[in-house]
Parts: sequence; C-alpha cells; structure tokens
Amino acid sequence: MKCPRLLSELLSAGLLSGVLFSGPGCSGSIVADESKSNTGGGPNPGDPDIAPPEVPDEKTACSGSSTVSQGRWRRLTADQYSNAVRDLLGQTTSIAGFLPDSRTARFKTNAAFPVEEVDVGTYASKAESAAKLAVGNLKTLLGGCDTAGTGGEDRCATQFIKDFGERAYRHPLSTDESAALMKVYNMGKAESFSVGIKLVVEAALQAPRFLYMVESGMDDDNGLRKLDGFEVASRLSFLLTGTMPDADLFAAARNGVLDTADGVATHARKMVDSPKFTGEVSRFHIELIGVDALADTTAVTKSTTKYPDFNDGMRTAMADEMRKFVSYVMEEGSGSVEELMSANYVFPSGPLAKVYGAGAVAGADGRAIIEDGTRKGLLTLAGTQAVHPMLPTPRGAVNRGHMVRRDFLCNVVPPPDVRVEFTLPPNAEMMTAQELLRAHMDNPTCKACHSLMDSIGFGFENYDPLGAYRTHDAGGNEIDATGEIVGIADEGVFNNAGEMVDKLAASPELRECMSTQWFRFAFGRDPEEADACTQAKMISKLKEGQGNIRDAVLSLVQSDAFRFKGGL
Amino acid sequence: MSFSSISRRKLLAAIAAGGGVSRLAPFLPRAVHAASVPKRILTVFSPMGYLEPSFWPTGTGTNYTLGETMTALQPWKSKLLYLDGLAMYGAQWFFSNPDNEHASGGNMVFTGSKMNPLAGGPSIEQAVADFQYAQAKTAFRSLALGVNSGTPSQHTAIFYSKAQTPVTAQTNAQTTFNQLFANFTGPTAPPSTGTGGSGGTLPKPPVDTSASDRLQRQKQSVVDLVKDELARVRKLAGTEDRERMDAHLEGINSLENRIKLLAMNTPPINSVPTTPSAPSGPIATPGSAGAGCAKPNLTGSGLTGSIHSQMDLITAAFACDMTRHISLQLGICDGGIDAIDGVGQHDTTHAYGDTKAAPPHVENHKRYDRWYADRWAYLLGKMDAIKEGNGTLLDNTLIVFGSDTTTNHSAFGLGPHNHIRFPLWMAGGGNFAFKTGQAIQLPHSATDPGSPALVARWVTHQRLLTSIGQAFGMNIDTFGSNDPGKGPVTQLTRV
Repeated sequence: MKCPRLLSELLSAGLLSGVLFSGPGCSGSIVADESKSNTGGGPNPGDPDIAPPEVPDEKTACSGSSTVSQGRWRRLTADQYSNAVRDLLGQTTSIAGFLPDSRTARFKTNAAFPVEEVDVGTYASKAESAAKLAVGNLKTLLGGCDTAGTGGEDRCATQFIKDFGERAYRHPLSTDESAALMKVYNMGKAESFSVGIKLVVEAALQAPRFLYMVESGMDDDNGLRKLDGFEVASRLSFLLTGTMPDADLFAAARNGVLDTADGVATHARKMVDSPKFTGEVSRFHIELIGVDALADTTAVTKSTTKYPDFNDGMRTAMADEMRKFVSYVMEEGSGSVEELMSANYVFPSGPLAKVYGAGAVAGADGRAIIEDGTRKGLLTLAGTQAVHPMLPTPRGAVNRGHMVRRDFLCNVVPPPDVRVEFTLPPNAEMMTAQELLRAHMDNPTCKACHSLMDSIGFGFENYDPLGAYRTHDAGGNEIDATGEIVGIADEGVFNNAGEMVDKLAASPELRECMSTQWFRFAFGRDPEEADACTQAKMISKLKEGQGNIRDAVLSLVQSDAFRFKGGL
Repeated sequence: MSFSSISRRKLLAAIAAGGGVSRLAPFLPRAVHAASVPKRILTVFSPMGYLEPSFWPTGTGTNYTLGETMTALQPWKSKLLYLDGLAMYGAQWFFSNPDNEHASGGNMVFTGSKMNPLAGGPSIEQAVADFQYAQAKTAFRSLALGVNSGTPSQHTAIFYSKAQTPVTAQTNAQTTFNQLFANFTGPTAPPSTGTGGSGGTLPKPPVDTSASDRLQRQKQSVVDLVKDELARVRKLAGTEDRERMDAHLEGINSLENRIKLLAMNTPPINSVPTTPSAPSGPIATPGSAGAGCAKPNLTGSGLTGSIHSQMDLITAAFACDMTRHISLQLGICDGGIDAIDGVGQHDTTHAYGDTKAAPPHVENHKRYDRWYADRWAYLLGKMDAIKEGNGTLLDNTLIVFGSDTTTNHSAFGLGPHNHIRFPLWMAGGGNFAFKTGQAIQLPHSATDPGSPALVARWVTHQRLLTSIGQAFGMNIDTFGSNDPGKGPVTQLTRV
C-alpha cells in the first residue's frame, strides 16, 4: 500500500517532534466504526513505498524526442534581489522587509504563489530609496555622459535608459519599453534632470522584467520554445552566481554565444570557478539541511535552562561554519559530494569552540581536523544537528533520521494515521532513544515507517541538541549509536554516525537524490518524466568517482531543460 | 487639535519614504460617528484546538460560565460568543484518506473548502476583504501576520486569497511595523496598557500644493509604468504566470490607492473630497481613524512577546484604519507553538485519550489552553481599551478564532483529534455582527461520532462562515467550495 505524503511536509517544517504510536499506524485502512477506532481496527501494514521515482539510465532516458515542461517564472528571492541591486547600482540593500520566499522542496525559489500586497509596497519603497541614493552620484550612474550643451541631458537620458534599462530588465529594451521609461523620465525632468533619472531607476526596479525571470523563448522546430541568449544568461547567472548577468555574459548573449549548448558550457565553466558559485553551493546545502532556519529564534529553540549558549551568536556561527565548510570543499578540496559528506574537519570559531571541545584545534585556515572519527561531513556539523529537531523533544532521533531520508535520499515518508495516540512515559527524559522509541518496533504498522527513520537517528545520538559530541545522553545513559540503514545499495548495520555516513556517501541513491535536489534548486520545480534525460546525465556525473559538483552542474546547464521551455 | 496646517508635501514625503500611509492616520483623527465606524474582521488560527470539556462554557444563553481553562477571558465575557455543537464536515477526520485531519482541517476551517491539493476557496476574512475593499479602499486591502507560521505548503497554509492561493504571513512584527509606522509622527502607545494615544501634536509647515501635486504625478508615472510593463509581459506568460501577473497588478493598484489616499487629504482635513479619482472603485472615506490611532510599542521578545507584538500591530492597524481585514496565524497545522518549556504542544495534545490519558497529560493540555487564553486576553484587552464611537475597537471588530482540530477524544471515542464540537468561536463585533455575551448550544447528536449523515445532525461550520459573510453585508447563502448546506446559523442573533 502506498502511504500518503504528508509527513514530509510536516517534518519539513520541523514541527512534528517525532511520533510514538500505540494505535493504528501509518498505512492501515481505517474502518468507520467506533468500536474499532481505539484498538487499531484493521491496520494492514505493507511495505511503505518511500522511494523517489526511478530515473532510467542515460542511454534510455536520452533516446526519445526531447520534451520540456513549461515551468514558471521565478520572482527574484530576497537574496537575489539584493544581489541584483548591488550589481546594478553598487549599493547594499537589506533584504529585511520582504515576506519569506516560497520554496520548492527545501529551496527558496519563489516559483509558486503570487506576490503579496505588502511586498509590492516594499518593492516601491526599496526602489525609491535605491534610486535616491543612486542619483546622489549622478555622474557615475550616467557612466560619465556629458550633459553639457543643448539637448545634452536628454541625450544622456536616452543613453542611460538604453544601457541601464537593458541591465535592469536583463534583456534589450523594446521600443515600447524604452518609450515607457522615457515617459517617466520626462515626468521627473519637469522638476529636474536628476529627478528624471531617479524616476527611471525607481520605475525599472519595480518592473516585472526586473523582479521576475521573464522567459518567453522562441518557437523551435521540435515544438519547444528555445530561450534566447538573454534568458539563458539570466538562468545561468542566477543559478551559478546568485545574481544578474555580468558584462561578459550580457556580451555573450548579445553575440549569440549562448544559443548553443557549447557556448553555454564555455561560459558556465568560467562561472563555476568563481567564489560566487561557491556561495551558491553553500546556499544549496544550507537550505537543503535547513540551517537557514537558525536565524529564526522562534522556529528553532532549545531549552534555555539546559542550553543557555544557544544565543544569536551561536546561531550565526553555526550557519557561518557551514558556509566555510562548503567553501573549503569547493575551493581547496575536491568539490565533490563525497568530500562534503565525509570530510573529517570542522571550523570551530567563536562560540563553536565550546561545542566542538578542546580536541578541535583550528589551524591557520580556521580548519580543525578531527582525527578520532567523531566528525564526518555535513551531517555531523554542529548546525545540522542543532536544527534537527527544531523544537525540543526527547525524540530527536526520529527527526534526524527523517532528515536523512527526506533531504539526502529523497524518500517520501508517509504520515502517521490520524488517530494515532501516544503517551510519553513519565520518565521519558531518563530513557535512551532506543528505549523511548521501542514502541515503534513493537507495532508492525509503526515499524513499517519508523524502522526506516529511527534506526538512522540512533546513529546521531552522540550529538546533543547543540551538536556537541557526547558519550552519555541527557538521562545519563551511555549512548549506543549503533543502528541500521536500509534501502540503499550499501545497506546494513553501523556502529556510529561515521560509519553510517560512509554508507550514505558511497550509495548511488544519495547521488541520485542530489541530482533531484540540484534540479529543484535550479528550476524551482520537481523533475518530471520529461526531464529524465537531464537528470540521467547529471546522475552519471555524480556517480563518477567522488561525484564532482561542478561537472554535474555543467551537465545541467547544457541540458534541454535548461535551454528550452515547453510551449505556452 | 488642528489639522489645517499639515502640508501635503509632508504627507507625500511620508509615502515616498515608506511606501505606506504612515503619516496619514495622525492627521485624520476626528469625531468618529457610529455610522462611519468601519466593520472589521480578524481571523486567528492556533493549532490543536483545545481540550474538552474544560474549554467549553457551561450554561446557555447569556447565563453562562466560562470553561475552566478560559477564565482569563472573564473581563470580556459579555463580548464573547460560543457556538457549542459545530462540526467541520468534509475535512478528513474520520475517513481513511491521503491526508491527516490536521492539514485538511487547517485548510478548511476558515475557507469552508476542501484541500485538494490546497484549499479550494478564499478564507472568510479575504472574502470579506474582497467585498468591503471594493466599496471602500483602505491603505492596505488586508494584512496577513503570523508567528512560526512557515511558508505556504499543504501543512502550513490556513488563509487563502482565493482557491489554491494561500497568503504568506509576515512573521516579523518589526517589518510590518516599518511598513505601517516607520515615519509615523503621531503618538506612541504605552507598551502594556493599550489605552492608545490621544492624537499627536504636529509641526506646522507651510502648505506647498504645487510641490505635492508634482510629487504625486511623479509617483503616479512610476505606477503607470509598472502597470504597462505588467500588461506587456502578461502576454508572454503561461496560465499560472498570468495569474501571478494579475496578482502583482492588484498589489500595484493598492499602492496607487495609497498614493491617492494621501493626496486626497488636502488640508483642512474636514473637507472630505467628494469626487475621489480612485483607480477602481471608491476610496474609503478618510477620517475614519479614531483618536486611539497610535504607533504601537513593540517590546516583546520570545514566543509570547512575538505574539503580543503582532497583536499590538493589529490593534494599531485597525485603530488607524490602515486595513479592515487581518489574519493572524500562530503555528501551523499540528504544532509550531511550543510555548511551555519541556512540554511539547504536539505531544501533549496527542497524548490525550479518555481512559488512557495519564493525569500529567491532561494537566499539560490544560496548561497550553490557559496559555492561549492569556494570549487572547491580551488581544481583547488591547482592542477593548480603544474607544471608538459609542463603544470600543473590539465592538467594531469581529474576531473569529479557529483551529485545525480539537481534542475531544473522550466525547466521541475517536482519536485524540477531530472536527466535531469544533471550537470556532468569536469575540467582539457586537456593534454590527452578532449579539455577544452568549453561549449557544446547537442541537447535535450526542453519540454520533460522525458519518455521511452527519450533515443532518450537526450544524456545519460553513453555516457560521455564511453568517459572518452576511454580517458584513455579503449576499451569500453558502460559503466555500464544499458547503453541504445552506443559510446562516439560525440560532445566532444579528444586531
């Protein structure tokens, strides 16, 4: 029986703090009969089908004719907006004020749902202040255009609209678009030239071509719509650098270089070597794991009496560390999935020194190599452990196990039945995770799903709610971190988190999942059947050797899914 | 207090800086006549409902006693309205289905519409907003606020602007404060008493009509460009993107309205313009903000403080008539509000079963319910402290409290949570909506735990949503995409 999907939603919000069943479980058929409703009447546990859709191998997947889903325009996320304003005007804009970005799975993409009324107001006020600041240095803004002489101001304005407009809209302006901006300029010019230019900036920053990745494309022989060079440039730029295209990329778009997959690859190869790409790879992992939630002091909490160190400084340090870690892997290390998953180093700066303990001694590069095997890759960083669970619960092992299933194996774990009832034993705090969660294993219905999660979570018991390594749990019991991971090629028992991570890092399932996650990150949608070839090619790259992330992303940007869209 | 000296330029400078009407309100306090007092709606979501029977009042009609966990509301007993015996029919709380009762309940409670994949219709405050905003345009059509409310997904979406389109709640009170009050020069409310202010003393700069007219024309030209560009890209958009461009256009229309609202307030303020050139439909009569309009003082921190800050903002936004429609979402379906250290809300409410419930769990559940009652008391206290017309802000605001489920295992032998005897209850609005200060016992089956025949034996919650729409003057007989019945709750008394 296929189990329903909703627990993933629930747990993705991090708010179901583990479930201890004693009633009917997650896959039973429920009979509308009062006499049975408390006794688990008629559960019919089967093997829950949690595996993600299978992607055929590259040869099969890429043999048919090409199809591409239509997709949706993405509205710039708050970070992208701020980066684009920085690149356009050389200003620092705060992202504060915007509503939270909508997500595709774990990633901020703004691909779904309309903008809200208040955000349109925020756009207006941010555009107004950015424009005001920009005309404070009018000469620079105009690129040195000389306004002296008769008609000099209008000439410079025309030039400014053409150049600035193209960069703001990330597309050459049509005659109508130029005329519209000119009209705004003329309105402002009635007061002064500077006000005219200010209004142009203010208007352009609120135009849909700036706020959205507008993608139209041109009809293609295959019934697809081929994105033009500028549209491809925006996709490349936001994916690989988190911001609008630079001059080089605009030139490539203008010269038709981005009309071919080879041309795209040439530019993308340069871009993935930039620190901005590293920044985006960091963002990918921070959002994938949910470490961005640390910034929200009501969404992620710890007992203030037990963990008084969990303050704003600690929250920031944890997110920063993940950035440093990913940057190191990308720039100094191999840039591979395997190293991200299993590197034996941490960055114990600031308040993290206390979390990582005296054994973690940082070298000149801020990196501390942990020789005893207690730290292994992303999953054992303090921040990862601290955000799972998000809220205090004695049953964090369930959340941590679920996080691995959902984020790193792309499994969809079904929700528990609605009438599940559970009662924490009075001495829950004193019990080991295994004792506490044993009830899951005693009930076949519960076991069907929980055996997949709990036994992974046990491996993380050595990490306390701040991610500090411990040998005894909160109840003073010696920790048993043995567990089992099933449903992957290298399945089996493990003695601790390190051994579990090794199994994960080596498993093809994890590499396949990373291709799905990168697809979501890049397109703001789930891969569909039509995307099988794109995914299969990425998977091939990710399964090669250590799984080079740059190679995988380069394969992605050359795909049909990246360069085309479906018909309207 | 004189208003004749406020320059429009100053007003426009305020919008220019804040994109809002931040300085509008203090210029407008004037006698509020009962007839001109706005009708407002506030919908409040909190997860998990309450533990029965300690939530429900005993007694009937006006002669009722508050439930033991709700005693914090005693000072406002005459302004509360309970309907004991509602059922949320159609949300999945009984049948085996691909969802659980939390999300389906959360999606349905204010929309009356089933979740597939998201709710199939707008929530009540948004429907009222559509209706009222078309007649009178306030600075903001509506506000959506939250605490730990997440970003929209099946399990987090409660309030909807229309079918399949959840609103995204702003969880940062400071942000909303900036949008509404950053450049506000009026009085600041005291942090804890909620008595509001008495109008500010304002500087008296000279009026410069030509400059303010020019600024308004400039703002309008920017708005016009954005509208033109939206229309242009709309032609290139697929179906879903077209809808998103349309929603963006609505946001721009609202911004345009704010610009016009300010421009209309040419001093002296008492001369209300007769021919407002609104973008579409008339503009709200300015001057409806009462003397209670004051900048909120957001001092709270932590979970409780965040909630109180949102409540302070709501009170101020209503008092200054910046909007008449607000939703407040605390948590998400099934949790998100772990208020009591060491006692998880989710675990607590799921641990409750009749004979199985260990006393500590019953007591913990009650602790949660009392904690909520304290929050509601804070809100009611703030709103009731602001005098308005011949009553208070609370009397002119209908607050509708709802949840995704309730905890009534003992009553019906179902699981810990379900949707019968559903706690969709109200406060305020006594000046225009329903007669308050009552506990109304609706007829319902005492034994039927729910069945397809339930419609006949229970009053479905869509009846109440219909009543609410009618109280605002909407000509409706049903509410939501899955309304199994027709008409209002007949036991309710309209005022």
